[in-house]
Amino acid sequence: MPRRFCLWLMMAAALLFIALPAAAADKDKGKKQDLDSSCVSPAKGPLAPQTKGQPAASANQPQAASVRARVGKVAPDFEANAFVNGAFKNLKLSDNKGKWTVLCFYPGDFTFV
Amino acid sequence: MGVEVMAVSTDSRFVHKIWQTEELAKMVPGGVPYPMLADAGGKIGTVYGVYDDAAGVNLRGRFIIDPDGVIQAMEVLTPSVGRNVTELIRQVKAFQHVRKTGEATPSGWQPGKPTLKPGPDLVGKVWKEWKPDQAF
Repeated sequence: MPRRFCLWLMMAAALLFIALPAAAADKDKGKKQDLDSSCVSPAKGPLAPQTKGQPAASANQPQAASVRARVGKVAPDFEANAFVNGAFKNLKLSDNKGKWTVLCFYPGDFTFV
Repeated sequence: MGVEVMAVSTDSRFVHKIWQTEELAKMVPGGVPYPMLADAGGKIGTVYGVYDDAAGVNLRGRFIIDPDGVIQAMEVLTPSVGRNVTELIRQVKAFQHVRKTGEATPSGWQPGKPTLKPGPDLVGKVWKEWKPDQAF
């Protein structure tokens, strides 16, 4: 009887030995994820036209995203990560409602033209 | 002129930060004064019809959007040729004038030059109001 109990105790101790550090690591990972997510949340990209009472949903569908921008039509709204005034922030096109906006796409930073 | 500018490329916000601090701030004091947006994967560019899938970058597209959110103008260039900012400013002023007065601005219009008042009376009479050399 005591031998079995010893065996059980040893197994329990071994498990604890493995489980505790793993749990601590998970907690660390959790903390790290909190830090990362406190910076800037992922931006939704192109936004689907809002239906009444529903929040703007991401229009990032895997199937072909159609070109929705047409001169003379309402510009497709979107949300993007941005670097502005020395800080990271998420910006939406609709933040500029009521003002003129010039939206400039360009190939890349550190390129030549 | 009360215009908000947003610059968008497929670069991340981190690359934007470094480009601003390392190069743009040396070209222009304080760097560029407008937000630099990150369009990872060209998702926004695709919706605007300017994403070059093969190259993985956005083309040089520029959209003028009015206060109601309607696109009034777009211009798209391949990467090697830069934009003409003077023309952009001219167009914005023209669209602002049109929005305010309902008049039309003829080719090459600059603030102070004659505008046209569209209507049935103007049909066939444009030659009286405007000459082609006014476009330059």
